[in-house]
Amino acid sequence: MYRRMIINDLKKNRLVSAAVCIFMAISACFIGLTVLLFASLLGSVDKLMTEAKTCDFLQMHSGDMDQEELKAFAKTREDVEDMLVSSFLNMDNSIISLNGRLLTDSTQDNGFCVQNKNFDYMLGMDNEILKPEEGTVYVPVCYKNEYDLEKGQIMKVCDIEFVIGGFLRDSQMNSMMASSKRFLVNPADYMRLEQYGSTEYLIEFLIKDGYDINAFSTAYGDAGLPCNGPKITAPLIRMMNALSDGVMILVILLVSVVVLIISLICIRYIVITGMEKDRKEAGMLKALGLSGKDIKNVYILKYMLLSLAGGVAGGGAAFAVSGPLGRQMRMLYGPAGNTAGIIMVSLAGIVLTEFIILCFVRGILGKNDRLSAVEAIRDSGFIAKRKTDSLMWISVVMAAALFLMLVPLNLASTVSSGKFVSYMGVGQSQIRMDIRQCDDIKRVSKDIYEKLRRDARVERSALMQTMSYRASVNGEENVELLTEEGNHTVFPLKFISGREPLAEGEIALSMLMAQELSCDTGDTILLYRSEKAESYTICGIYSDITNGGKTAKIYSDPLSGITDERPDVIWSIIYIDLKSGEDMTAWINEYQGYFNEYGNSVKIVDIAQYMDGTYGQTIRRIKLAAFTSILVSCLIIFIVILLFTRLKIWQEKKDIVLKKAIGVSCYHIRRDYLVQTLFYILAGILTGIVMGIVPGQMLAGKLMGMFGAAGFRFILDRRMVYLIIPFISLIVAILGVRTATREAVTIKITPEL
Amino acid sequence: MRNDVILKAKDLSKTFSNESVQQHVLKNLSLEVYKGDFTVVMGNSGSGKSTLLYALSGMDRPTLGTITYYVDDDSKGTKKEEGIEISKFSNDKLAMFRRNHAGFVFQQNYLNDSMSALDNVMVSGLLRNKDRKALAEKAKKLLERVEINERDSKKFPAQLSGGQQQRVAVVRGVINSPEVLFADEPTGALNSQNTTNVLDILSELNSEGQSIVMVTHTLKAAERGSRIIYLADGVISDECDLGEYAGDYQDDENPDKEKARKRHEKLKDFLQAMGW
Repeated sequence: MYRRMIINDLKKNRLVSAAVCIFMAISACFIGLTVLLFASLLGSVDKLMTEAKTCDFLQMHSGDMDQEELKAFAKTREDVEDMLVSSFLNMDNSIISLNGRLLTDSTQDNGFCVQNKNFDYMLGMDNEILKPEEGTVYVPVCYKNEYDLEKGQIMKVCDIEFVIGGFLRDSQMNSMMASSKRFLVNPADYMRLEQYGSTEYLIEFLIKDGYDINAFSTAYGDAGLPCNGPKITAPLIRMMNALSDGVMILVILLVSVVVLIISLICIRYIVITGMEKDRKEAGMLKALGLSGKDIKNVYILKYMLLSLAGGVAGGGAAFAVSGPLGRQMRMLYGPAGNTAGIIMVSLAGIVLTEFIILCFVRGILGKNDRLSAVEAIRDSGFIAKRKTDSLMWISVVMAAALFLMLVPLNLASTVSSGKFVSYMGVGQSQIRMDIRQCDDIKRVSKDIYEKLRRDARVERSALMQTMSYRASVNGEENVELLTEEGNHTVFPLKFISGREPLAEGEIALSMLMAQELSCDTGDTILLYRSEKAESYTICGIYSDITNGGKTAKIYSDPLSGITDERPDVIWSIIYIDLKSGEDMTAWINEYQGYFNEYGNSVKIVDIAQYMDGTYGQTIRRIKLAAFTSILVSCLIIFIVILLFTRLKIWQEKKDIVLKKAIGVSCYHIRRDYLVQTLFYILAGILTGIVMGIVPGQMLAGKLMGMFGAAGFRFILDRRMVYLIIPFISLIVAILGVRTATREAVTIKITPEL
Repeated sequence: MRNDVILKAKDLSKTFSNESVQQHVLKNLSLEVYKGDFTVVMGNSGSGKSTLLYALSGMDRPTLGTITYYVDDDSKGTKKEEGIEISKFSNDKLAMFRRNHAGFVFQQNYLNDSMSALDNVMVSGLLRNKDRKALAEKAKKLLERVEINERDSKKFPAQLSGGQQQRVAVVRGVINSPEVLFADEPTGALNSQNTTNVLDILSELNSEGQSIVMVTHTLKAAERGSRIIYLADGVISDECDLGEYAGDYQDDENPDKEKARKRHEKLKDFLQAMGW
């Protein structure tokens, strides 16, 4: 009998049942997807690290070292299972090309290595141990998509050509967060390459099971062994591997939580609407002798059925979507080991989500249980309380929906704005000229710069030359500092603290660099611009998301400052502003013509085009995310307003009947609802705008901070934020109210009075 | 000579509190209901008629006082002589008690929209009787008695007339053969013809031994009672015994019956004396 009651009820309230089912499915889908991706990632990373026999302790070192001393140390330790010293041939990115594309733009330290003997293997795409033939190279798998590579294509190092034999998974450096990438070659090829690079060493240890890695790490440090590079342990490697794709999963998790909360709010109101509608029947059933528990169980059974359908649909969708979303992850880390386990964990996640929703529903139903049969049949105070309650929730959901729309939208408008360059460690200019990969960058740059100074159409220009210097703070840290020299006052950039370097002896550091060196403005830093160390005072700290976020700027005269004794200029950039009224496109074309003799070495682009080239794909992704979230949010607004207004109409059915009886037209009743709801809609929209800007900016700022952009501020597309999005939301909300108030028209006077 | 007492209310009080305002609806009221009686509760609006009915039926608990049913209770294994005091029962216990011993008919029928007429009756029956087949037979017979044929019994409430709906509600009230059938203005929402039909059904049930307690404010409905209790301001003002005229009442079909006329006069006099 209960079954028939439930089935009839589901049939009768198809729309409401479908809405509950959809909310349950969406929640299950997002949470299921998060768990599935996260479990797969951990499974893949674990399997890769096991099969590659990743070391437990790694010390990087450049410079001289005594391998015998290391071996002797290893012998004295009972916790060491094995050790090896692996060479890493670090190359300048400008001499490496993959399928004709130079790696100049790469922010990674790229280098070569040979296959290790006992552990830390480079694995192929089937997790097999690779053994490259002479003349072939295995490329880190993360470059496959980035440089659009295929097996059989050519990699060049200066004049030496390699055929790409395939792609490798490097259990230590696979993550884009690891700053180095290892290319695998045959030992004979390695020897041929040695002349082009500098050797670094990876001193690796395998620790026996049951021993403490941290204790070993301390012992290694105390033994005074080679250690002038970073030191990493297996848990950190695992974390870095997990974090790279984990960020995407974290974003999905954040969305899942928001979606779950919105779903719970909606389900709450759907359940209450249902209870309102059935209140008198339920009261009658109570009068007939059904206990509150019995009635609750009927409801629970109904929602369990819906939750089963929602869980299956959502789970199915999660598994379907995880395929394309996890493709990159599977390529980087290989298939996960324990597929059955991952599926079980994901299913558990979905079941848990549905369980949470059902518990929540149970809690709401409990309130109904407290009413006696008489209270349920007669109107009681229980209802009156909810009237303003439902309207308040309209504001909450409107604000949440606006937040979901505005954060990606503001992020997209910020990244695509011209002003965004200020986060990239450069001032705002119209044109950017890159001089790279030619025999004498210093001379070419100088020639071009002088030519520009003579050009009357140029309002201002600044030459920046980038060099790599060794630097140290307090005589302890030794880092390579990518330093841009030039006059930084021409196109001033935004400083988080301090100001740009104005004279010799002053240096500005990027935020991440300052953090790494643990120094602040006013501190001094030793810079090896020549053989002798020079002392520089840190005059300012700025945002930079380029070159891994770790750069520095010093002042030098563009023409006389860079002398021949200085190390080679890695690249030069000239920033240019034209006088107003000048045709930028024509100017760029003209100059590109002059520089044909340099081949591809000189590139002139307008900044907008440059931004599109560099961040175009990211911007398009964020814009797609913004567009999707606008659609989803509009849908949420429509459904929620529709449901909440219908609830309100049910609550006020008697008032409506009375109004109709005394001659108030349906038009006026509907208009009244719109006017009442409008206040809460507008309040929600306003709150949403504020939330989208203030906490939204904080959230986005945290995310951008991870990439090196400090003091992140949204650059708002005011028309979208203050006009179009509120307008769209308002229209959708009004549409929801109008659709819901059709219910008021259908209420008949006679049976209700 | 009165039958056995089936229900005894002693010193009943019911107070509703709304924030700082307290409303004493029943005041120290005592009452006995006898087996086989058709007890009618009358009174002006706000006199506490419905509140008394809800308290007696176990749908609501009194603020003070006791309500004792003298019925056999298989679930408790108690004999009717022992009596079951229900005023302190929990909601669930009260629900259990109602399903076994009480039936209800209200002014609004509160039929479940998503179930057929037969199913509406069955829901109530299945609470007590798990033999679905036997129950369906009983439900169909009862529905036919109130002129709801098999075809109509499969219809949803919305497809039935108001009178038919209320007849279904009466059948639902008696499907479990309750010791007492409680009716709160059962004809309040019906037209004259349907009112007569429903009252006829109630009278017929009563003539077969069904104890009924009915709240009404119409003379026409009150005439069906064997005992009229008049409430004023939460206390019983007086009562009128119409037992001597059992089975005879004045209605459209037999307006000239002598006994019915006398009964009508007696009731009218009583109500006039009560200031009705």
